[in-house]
Formats: sequence, structure tokens, C-alpha cells
Amino acid sequence: MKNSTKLFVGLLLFIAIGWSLDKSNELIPQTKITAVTYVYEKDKTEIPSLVAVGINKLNIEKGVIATSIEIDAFDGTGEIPKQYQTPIAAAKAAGVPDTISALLVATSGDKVLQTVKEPTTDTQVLEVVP
Amino acid sequence: MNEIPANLVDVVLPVDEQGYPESEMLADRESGVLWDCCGSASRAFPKSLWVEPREWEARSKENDRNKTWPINYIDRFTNQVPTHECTNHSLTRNIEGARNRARGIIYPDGPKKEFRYEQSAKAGSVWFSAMWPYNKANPRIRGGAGVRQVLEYACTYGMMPDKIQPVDYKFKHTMPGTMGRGNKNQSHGDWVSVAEMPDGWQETAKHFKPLEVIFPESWEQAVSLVINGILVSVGRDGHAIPWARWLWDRQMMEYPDSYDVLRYDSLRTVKYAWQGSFAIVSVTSPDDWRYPAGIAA
Repeated sequence: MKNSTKLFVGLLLFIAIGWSLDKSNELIPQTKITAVTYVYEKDKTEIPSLVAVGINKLNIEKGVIATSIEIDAFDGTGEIPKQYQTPIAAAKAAGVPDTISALLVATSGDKVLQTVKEPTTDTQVLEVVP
Repeated sequence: MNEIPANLVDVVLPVDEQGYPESEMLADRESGVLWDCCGSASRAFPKSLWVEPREWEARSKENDRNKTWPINYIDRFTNQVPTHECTNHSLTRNIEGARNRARGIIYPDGPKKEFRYEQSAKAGSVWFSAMWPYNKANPRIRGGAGVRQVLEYACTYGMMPDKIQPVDYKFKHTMPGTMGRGNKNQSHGDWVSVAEMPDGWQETAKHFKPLEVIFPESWEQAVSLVINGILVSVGRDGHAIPWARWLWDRQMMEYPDSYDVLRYDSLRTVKYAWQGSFAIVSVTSPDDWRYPAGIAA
């Protein structure tokens, strides 16, 4: 194959790969995390100081609603608050309070995107929100 | 190490300013009294919150670095001069702190006189009236109220929002924050008896109830709770206040007093004042922090 032909084929391949990468990004929806909840059982754990730092930073710097909620959270009517139904269900399914003391739950609406078992550092908290 | 002025340590108010009568204090210290008054909200001190005294220094330094003391969940002072509302000012700090701790916002310098954090409005911080449930515990206005009474009413009915809030939450029912001086972040007004409270007030108050309350059984447990970011409300020498920071290097408790000022209890005071104390660990949470009492509740 002539050098010019090789160059042309290589260029075509390069363009094709670039296009497919661009298209592949469009095909994978980017779901935005809207809330991060540290769900814990106070009889098993405190809120670690660095976790509180991470939670605060998510609120201030990332614009997500980041909170720390006891597994037995209720609203004024005696129901589980709507915003915590998904994270509390995820925490219970993961074993809070029976087998683990806490679960960090990152959600988008009522969808769980990521969880971290028993986080102890601000880094672990901050990493759930890219 | 900054010197703490001696006039801010172990402060005993003049008798006519004391709002926590000795008779009430002694009754509150009877075994089981506070536990009974909180009903289903009462909780035993859990092992998970115990901090060995040999770890107090390290944990305190961590809190100093990270600003995760209970004082860092308090975003305002209140001012009760010249009323006897102290047990309620202490109660409102305690429940506000528990709520802010859950909300996950750190107020880096704690309460500051005549200062309002922008974050208070953004985070849905709610300020509660100290007139309720004082008005139910003591309808005679002067003379103070006992801890068990105000705690019982808080657990039963909830707390009433102050007329002044960081942002307009469109509360249907509010009350003046105090009959005393108040400040930029606390309204003041004439006495409102229980009969004069706005119709349907319970529908707003129920959204702000303690869910779990712990009663320390030793001064070391009280220090452990503070190290874990939890306010401990205590009554001593005729006055009720919330312990909010353990100064490990001075062996003192720092507290935001309801006189727009930080004051301190020495170790000697801590060792007896812990009796009859309480710590609100969790509070009812809203469906949406932007609407603390629901939509137009």
C-alpha cells in the first residue's frame, strides 16, 4: 500500500474512532447525583468527624443535598420523610443496623447510584460526587 | 492559648435573673424523671458514643481541626434579658443544633453576635421560639420552668418557629422568640399564653419534635456526647445552658449563653452539673428541607 494511502486510511480510522467515542458518550446518559445521605444507627456508630466534613463540603461545594440521618428517621406525621425513603431502604437492604453501622447513599431522585459502607473519611464521601 | 476572662467562667446569675428554680432542678435530677417525661423518645446512652477519657485530647483536636463540635451546628445566639426563660433557650439551642447536625452544615465560627450566616437560609435552618413551651410549663410568666416539663412538652407537641427566620418558610404559625431583648436572629414580643397561641399551632409544631433523647449518667458520658457533636443541656446554680464544646486543654465546657455571649463551666462545675442533663440526638426531618413544616404548614 502506498504511504499516502496508508496515511489516508489511518486518517479515516482516526476520524471514525473519534466519532464513535463522541457518539458513545451520547449513548451513556450522564445521571446527576442530587442527594447524598449518610444513613446510620447511633447505637452502632457516631457520625465520624471527617464524614461530617465531607457532607458539609458536598453541600457547599457541589450543590447536592448532603445530610446525616438516623436509620429511624420520621417526619412530623410519623412517616419516613419522602426524601429519605430511598436511602433508608438502601441502607436497610445493605444491612443497617444489623450487620453494618452506616451506609452512604448517593441518589438521583429515587434512584440509587452509588453506596459506600461505613465511610470514615471525607475523601470517601466526596468521591461519590465526581 | 488565648486567655479566657475569669468573669466568663462559672458564672452565677443574680437571683432575680435565675430561671431554673432549685426545687425544679432537684426534682429533675431524681432517677428516671427525665426518662419518663420523654416517653418513646427516651434512649439509653449507647456504647457507640462513649469516648475513653484517654482519647478526649485526640478527638478534641480532631474536632478543632474539622470544626465538628456541637457549637459548629449552632448558627445564632439568643437573648433572654430580663426573663426567666433559660430552660427554653437551652432547649431551643439543643434541638436547633440536632437539626443542623442532621442537615450537614457546619457553621465554622459557631454563633456570632448580631451576625447571620448565609448558609442558614440555604440549608433550611429553623429558629424556634423560647416562649413555647415555657408558657405551658409556667403560665405565671416569672419564676422559670423545669427541664422535665419543657422537654415533655417538646416531645409531645414539638416546637414553635420564631417569627424571625433565616428565610421566609411561609410557616402558618409562629411565635415571638422571647419576651426578653432578642436580637437580629430572635424576635421579641409580649407574652403569648397557651390560650392565645394561633389556632392550629400544633400542625406546625409537630414537624419539629425530638425523636431520640439521651440522658447522660456521668459527667464523662456528657463529655463523650459533646465530643461526638451532640449538645448537652444542663442546669446548675439557677440557670440552664447547653454545653457545646469541650476545651480539652483547659478542662472546661464552652456554651452559648442566652445573653449573646459564650461562657464557660470549669471541670468542678461539669462534675456536678451533668446531673439532670439531656441531649437531643435526632429530630423529625422534613420531606424537603426547603419546606421545614411541609408546604404552607
